[in-house]
Amino acid sequence: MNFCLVSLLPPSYLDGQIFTHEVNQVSQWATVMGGTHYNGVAFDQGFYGLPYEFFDQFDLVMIALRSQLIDVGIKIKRKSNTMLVVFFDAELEHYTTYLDRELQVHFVELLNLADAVAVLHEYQIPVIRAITKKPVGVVGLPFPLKKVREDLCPPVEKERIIDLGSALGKIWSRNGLVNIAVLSETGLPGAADMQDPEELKYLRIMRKYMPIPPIYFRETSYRPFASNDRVELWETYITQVNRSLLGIHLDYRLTWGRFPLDCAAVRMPCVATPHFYTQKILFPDLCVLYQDVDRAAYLVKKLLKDRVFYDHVMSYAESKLPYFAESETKERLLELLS
Amino acid sequence: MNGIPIIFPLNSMTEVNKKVRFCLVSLQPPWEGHGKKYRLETNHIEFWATVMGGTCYCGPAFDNDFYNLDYDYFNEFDIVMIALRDELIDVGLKIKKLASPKVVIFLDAEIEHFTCNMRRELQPGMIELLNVADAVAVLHDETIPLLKLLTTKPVGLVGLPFPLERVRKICPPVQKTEEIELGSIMGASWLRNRNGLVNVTALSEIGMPGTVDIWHPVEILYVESMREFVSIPPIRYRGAFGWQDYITEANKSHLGLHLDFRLTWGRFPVDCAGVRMPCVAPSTLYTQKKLFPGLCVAYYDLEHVKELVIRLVSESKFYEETVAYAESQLSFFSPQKTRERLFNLL
Repeated sequence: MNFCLVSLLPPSYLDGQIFTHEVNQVSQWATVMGGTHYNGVAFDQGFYGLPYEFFDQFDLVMIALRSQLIDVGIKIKRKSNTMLVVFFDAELEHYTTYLDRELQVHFVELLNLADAVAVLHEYQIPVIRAITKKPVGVVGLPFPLKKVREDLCPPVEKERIIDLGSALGKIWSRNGLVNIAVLSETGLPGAADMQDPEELKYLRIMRKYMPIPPIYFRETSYRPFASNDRVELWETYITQVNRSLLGIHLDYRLTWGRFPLDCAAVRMPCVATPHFYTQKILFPDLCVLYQDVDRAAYLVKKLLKDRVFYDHVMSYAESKLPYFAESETKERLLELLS
Repeated sequence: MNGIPIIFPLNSMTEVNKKVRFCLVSLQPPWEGHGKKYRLETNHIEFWATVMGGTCYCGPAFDNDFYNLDYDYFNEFDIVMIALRDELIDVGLKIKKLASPKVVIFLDAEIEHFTCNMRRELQPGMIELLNVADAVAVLHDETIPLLKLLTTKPVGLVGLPFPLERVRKICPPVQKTEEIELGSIMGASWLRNRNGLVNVTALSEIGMPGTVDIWHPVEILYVESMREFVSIPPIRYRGAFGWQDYITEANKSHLGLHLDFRLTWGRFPVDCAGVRMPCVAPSTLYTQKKLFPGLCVAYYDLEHVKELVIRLVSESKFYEETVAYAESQLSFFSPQKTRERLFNLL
């Protein structure tokens, strides 16, 4: 099957080539399908020097939908004959609230022109089914489990560190302040990706008022738009996450949730909201409403002192990991299109 | 609903407050009422100034010398309430540093705004403000534990006072029309669009006519252009001239629907209860949780939404019991009780 992913990942020398690198990002779709990738905005602006008819050569184009790619998706469907699957690449709220209203109309149009719609959480299905008559289903992101387990992250002695799914971010964060608040309540050191060194300055100011424990900042996402080393950055990230004892991510968005899956892959539990589909599947006993910081802190403390509980939740997560394997995820996509 | 204020006479309630000199600092644009004793009675943040017998200023305008007043002017007040948004963090800090009134921070947006959508360079200033203020008033009881981790100052649920007495005067019982009042549709910008697409989508699943107060006629165009793809029932669009007009029209609807995802206060469910109609909405709106516990639904659960609406339409006993329960809870939102909660917090 000739496959092409169209996303907002920055243009790189890899675009147009067969993708082989393995990361827990949307580009993994190009890898598992043996296909390639183009940046949608760059394509539309003629960066690659290709017309939209170029997409005729693919059996399947997946558009990783963000606001900037709605019109690109419509053009692909109108100007070529390829099969088009819309892959939600953001939380449901992005499309239903934060999208500019003119784009919302185009969003509805695209969902009805496309051949199928792949959502990120089963809770999204009723809303999207009411908008489009096309097939709608949960597909998700394929996860490079084999590479993580066999190459990057052997079992290690875990350090008493809590990995945060988000801290203060570069411009804004993904509810990182709630993660930091719960970390303060547990008193344990944390670890997080640093998007730029300014985060340290802001944390210092907050420490005047909050007992924030030490947070070890990794610079693995410091250059998120440097496409050439995104594979290396992700490998460094997951290797370092492997050292932590557990993860916390009290995000509010109704979405996929890459972080709980990262945690499960490196054999550590994650406390997060069931609004992450990955969390709901992998760690049902550690699901907590994002605002329920008391329960989140309780669960963290229980994991720290109750080894049986820790092993039980990990054993359950391990049993669910095949759902996220590349082969099963690919099967879900093909079923959606059949 | 349109933001044009309607002025009503002071009621006796404000007499109780004559010893407390109160000032609300918000983002409401400057107008002639600023600096004067407030008499507005609307379901809006500025109603705080009315129920406290105080006044209001626009924070950024004050900071930019629009009123030609120094910050030590706030010494004239016993309580200053900051209706917190991004633009008012530094204003709040200046009031606390340059004057000596009690400052209460009133979180004037959903909690996600402060924990996620606020630019991170503002977040440390917000943490500082929460800790130098005298108290923090939140909009939903479920946000209290989190705020208590961010500040050592008293944190409590206070909410917005609701002008029930006035509403009951201008909205007598009427024959309800078979229309669903939507809490939002395709707002003029994403700031106004509070999951409106989900409301429209739910309406199409339910199949009943809807009605909605719009901010701009172009909203009609956007909804109508979706009809090519989605079977949206007829929607009667209104453009209210002021809050009184809005609530008077809302009074004619059969029930309300607002599938918002934000963890916040929720003015819409209390509007619905005020005009004696049930509301289907998520419990992340505090007013919904309090007034309509039997009609709480996850914002994405359209099947449950449809089931509840059909039940309300087809079972008059269920409808009446739901409205009666809401009626029994409405006093919680009265100006007196809301003011008491503020005083208890302080």
